[in-house]
Amino acid sequence: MRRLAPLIIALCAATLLTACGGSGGSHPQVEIVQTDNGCTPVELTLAPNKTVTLVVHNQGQKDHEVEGINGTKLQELLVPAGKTRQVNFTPSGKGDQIKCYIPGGSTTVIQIKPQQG
Amino acid sequence: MLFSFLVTVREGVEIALIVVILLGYLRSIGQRRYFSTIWLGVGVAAAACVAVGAGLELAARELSSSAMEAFEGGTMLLAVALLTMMAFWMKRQSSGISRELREQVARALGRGSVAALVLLAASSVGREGLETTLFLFAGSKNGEGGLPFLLGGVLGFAVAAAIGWSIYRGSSWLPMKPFFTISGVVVIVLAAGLVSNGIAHLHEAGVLASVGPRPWDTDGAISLTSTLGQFLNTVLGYDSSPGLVQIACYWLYLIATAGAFLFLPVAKPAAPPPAARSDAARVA
Repeated sequence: MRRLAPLIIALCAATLLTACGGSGGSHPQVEIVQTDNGCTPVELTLAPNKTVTLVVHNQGQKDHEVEGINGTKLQELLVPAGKTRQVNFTPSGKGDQIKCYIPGGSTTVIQIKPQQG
Repeated sequence: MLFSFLVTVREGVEIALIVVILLGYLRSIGQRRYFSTIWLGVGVAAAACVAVGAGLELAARELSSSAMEAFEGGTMLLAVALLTMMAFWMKRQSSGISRELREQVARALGRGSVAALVLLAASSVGREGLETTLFLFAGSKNGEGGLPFLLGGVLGFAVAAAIGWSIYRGSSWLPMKPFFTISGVVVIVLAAGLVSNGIAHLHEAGVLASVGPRPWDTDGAISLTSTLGQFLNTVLGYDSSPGLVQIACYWLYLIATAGAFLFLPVAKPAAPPPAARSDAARVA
């Protein structure tokens, strides 16, 4: 077993390298509310390249999903029924779109408008 | 990073062992001139695996988001099935694989067929390579991905290559049996994570209408969108509020597979047919 030590050390180093780091500092929060009939708001005005935290409340009876579409960079997020989840989002200012949907069900697309000035 | 590192070390060592057996046998019978033939077969296998990986990636990109979720979920469960079969196959074959490969080399040389030798190297390495490709593709679709995932894979293959080289030179420090037992269990743990993630993807695709009630929620402690959450999701299939279906399938798979892998006696592979033995004896 002692001969496996170099491999175990390499393993621990890889673990530390990967697991270190956090989800980032605090950012302005933007609320999104999901129900089983859709998602509000359907339009958000956000400053380009400024990270915000999307706080997604699922007030429906079914699980909901949030994801960026048409090239919008947003980490995919499943929000179980009745739960709230957060994810950071940095708008590009180039017509970003976020899709909120019930898997296998209805869909709402949130348009992101760039904030002027 | 850790997921791809663990997978490529384990699978890379299996590949390295196959190459070492082939090259070692050729060296022992004074047929070093066929080394390039073996490397050609390895190159063909590597190219095929890269092509399959690229094909999977391109296919996934062409799909709509829900179809992609279904494709990824299905691929994860397929990877689990293949990986589990291969882990048990490797355990069963471990005592006889060296003899089997040497006999196949002897038969190819006996027929004077370079193409057969290329095919032997390509198929032996390709089998492991395709398993690795599928497993890595499935793993890359979880929380962690991108450059760290790629880096882990490269690092793992580098470690495996170094181990292979040391075995070939006869200076290996790695105790093979414990290595394959421990790495086999590690791979089963990674596969159990893929079971949970595969079910989650199928649910997100709408293929599974529900994953059942979610008995706990640890998102406040470790968010699935945090770096640590993504890391745990990739390596262990962590879900901050998993459904009962995920929990049950995860533990059932883990306990049944790891238990069988560790404690069930394995049947030895059948002895080779007399013709193969005589071929090997003639060339050796």
